[in-house]
Amino acid sequence: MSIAFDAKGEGLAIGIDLGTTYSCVGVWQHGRVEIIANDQGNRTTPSYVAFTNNGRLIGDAAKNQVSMNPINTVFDAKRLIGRKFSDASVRNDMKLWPFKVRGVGDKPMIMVNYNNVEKKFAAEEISSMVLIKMREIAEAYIGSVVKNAVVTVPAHFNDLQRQATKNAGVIAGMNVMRIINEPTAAAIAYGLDKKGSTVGGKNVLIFDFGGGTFDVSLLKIEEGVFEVKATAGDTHLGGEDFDNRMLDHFVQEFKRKHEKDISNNPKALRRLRTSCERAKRTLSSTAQTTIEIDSLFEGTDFYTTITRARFEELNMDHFTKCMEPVEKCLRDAKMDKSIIHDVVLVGGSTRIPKVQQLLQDFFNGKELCKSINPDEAVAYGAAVQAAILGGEGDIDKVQDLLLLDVTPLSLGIENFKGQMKVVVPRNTTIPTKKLRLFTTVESAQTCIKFPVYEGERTIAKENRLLGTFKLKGIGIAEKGVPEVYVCFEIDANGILIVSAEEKSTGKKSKITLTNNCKRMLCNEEIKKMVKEAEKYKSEDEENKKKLEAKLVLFDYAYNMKDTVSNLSKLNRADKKKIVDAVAKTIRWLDENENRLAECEEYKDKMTKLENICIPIFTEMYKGAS
Amino acid sequence: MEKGLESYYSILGVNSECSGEEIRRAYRKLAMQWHPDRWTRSPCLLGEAKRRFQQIQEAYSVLSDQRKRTMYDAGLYDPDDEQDEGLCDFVQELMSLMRGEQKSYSMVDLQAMLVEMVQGFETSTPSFRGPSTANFEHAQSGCAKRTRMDPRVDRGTSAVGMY
Repeated sequence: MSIAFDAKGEGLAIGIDLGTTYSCVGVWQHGRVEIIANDQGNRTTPSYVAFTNNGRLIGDAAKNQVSMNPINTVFDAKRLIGRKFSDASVRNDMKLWPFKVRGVGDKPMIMVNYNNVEKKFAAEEISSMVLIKMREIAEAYIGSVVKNAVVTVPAHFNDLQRQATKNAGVIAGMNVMRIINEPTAAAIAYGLDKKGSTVGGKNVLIFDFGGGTFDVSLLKIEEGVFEVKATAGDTHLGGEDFDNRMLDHFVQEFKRKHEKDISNNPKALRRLRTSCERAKRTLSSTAQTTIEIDSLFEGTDFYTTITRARFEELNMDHFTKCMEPVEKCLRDAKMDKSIIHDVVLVGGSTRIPKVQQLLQDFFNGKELCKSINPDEAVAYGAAVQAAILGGEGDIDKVQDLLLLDVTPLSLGIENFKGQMKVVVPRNTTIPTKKLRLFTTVESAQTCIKFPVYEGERTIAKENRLLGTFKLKGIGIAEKGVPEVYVCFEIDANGILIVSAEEKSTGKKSKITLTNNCKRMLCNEEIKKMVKEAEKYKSEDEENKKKLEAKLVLFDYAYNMKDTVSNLSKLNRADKKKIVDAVAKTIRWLDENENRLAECEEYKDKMTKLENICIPIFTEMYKGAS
Repeated sequence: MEKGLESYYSILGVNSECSGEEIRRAYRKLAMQWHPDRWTRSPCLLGEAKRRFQQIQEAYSVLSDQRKRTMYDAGLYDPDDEQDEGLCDFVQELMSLMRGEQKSYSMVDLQAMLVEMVQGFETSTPSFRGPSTANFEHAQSGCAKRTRMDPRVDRGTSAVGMY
């Protein structure tokens, strides 16, 4: 019995790649990373949550029923997390989502019908449900409770998106040890085995193109130190955008061929979208594929073909857009493309031949590195980082590994000309702390207001406002006399903490980034959501029990029906008794097909049925022997 | 040359003549030692490790960049301000001239360089200021403030004062 293990009582720490479309979980065990398969045997799990009258479904179960229940099946929460309802990207995405999104304040809330009640969920809550699922997958494999996790985010996620992802972890009841960047995590998967052989260091470009986001990071890997030199990307570009283009193409084609518009029918759109996703995958290995959907809309079948060339043409602007961040990354790192040793492909969308070709052409025909699994590399790296931070015994192999990541966006304050005064430039290694000295411009001024922005534009308003903080209670003095030090601190998660101190009076003033955007969750809301998450979890368990009770009754009833019809020894009266009772039970089950009854009801029906059947059979067998 | 209380070179434990490769090696070694991730099991030392790492990082970010390093060597580095490329180049040439390196410029060349530089400031960077002038920043919603940027103060701030 391991005493150390018990004393810590926290069990193993896991790494979770929380993706836009799929998530993946890994754990460091026995000196290596194990990517864990879910209950369906899949090593990645759809980031889908479905709400039905029979309870909540997460992962494969949710995605499998999506075409039956499109408006209550939520996905793409990552495209909402940490964003404003008024964001252009949210507005555009909403047009494509079958589920409803409403703005509460400026925070987007997802509206679903759950157990016949209209409910609203924040993106953080949906993500927390996916995290809970991933944890359960890990717990089933490890065989003990998991509390700690490293969760990944796109490198180009901003402060609010990171904070919101961290909150999702809190709602899931987990301790998020660290938020790490996806391409950096993938770099670990790439470099872990190579770390001994990197004499003089290796310059590695990670090209991470997933289901919803796109990142490029340039790292220098030398003697176990993974130093991120620069990062660039697009938090809203990925495989789903290609599906959307194809979907749009086929909707037009259907209109042309059959003069019917399916764009207002969520079910038809969903079935077509699922076929598009499949076709896209097929086109990575074949030049042409077919789409066959029976009775897509108003009884009309849809049979068509699409070629790889057509698919590429539909998405060409997306593909070429991918090369810009590559250039930007090289420029920021002050490196020429000729000194890049390896270009590593990560994420499902890097399987697309055109993407590979454009990238290869950009690097003058250089062979691309495909040695790591594009779907699992991020979770792999996260699991390694979790082991390092968790300090589990068996980490000799990764002990001398250090990640030095950077902040992806410049952080600064708006000055009186409306310009962005950068305090922490982008690509600064984290954790970092920068101080700026401020003073008053008016005599007896007691308050200073600081609007904090994030972004690269010189005009502050064109960047993203993270919040405004006020420093109050400055001692009354002549203008220019008070000395106020404002401190921007970025922690290892890439999350900003601002504080200020007035030097002249020696007084420290606590300030927090007040949230005037009304889209971050406050502590109270998070607490409430944690409670609700627990409630949903116990409801899930309750539903599971009910479902089991239902299935037992269902099985028994049909079993009896079957048995009785095959028995000739039974007298007619007894037979009728059983047949009637069984028929009654089956009728009741049918009537309640879309509703889960209480466990007691199922048990009650079961007992009644047994009380009729068992004595008859007992008599029958007695008579027979 | 005044360099605050502790120079970036001494933070990294290298001498001021060392090569970029030596700086990188020293940084890697110190980062491996002081990065907060290496101290997760001794929470009481975590704060100290973070301070040390940030100090090391600050020194490395300047010394690993040839332009910034030149400015720093010349005592003109201002961490609060984006370095002006023209000025950096000028200082770089000046420094190499002072060290008596091969490249030689006539007085006319240097003057032309200076004129070009000044023109650059006039057109693109109105915020240019000498090492000890004050700069006015910030006024929003009735609350205004002034940023004072004195490189000497800031040197102290960034290298030592903040810790």
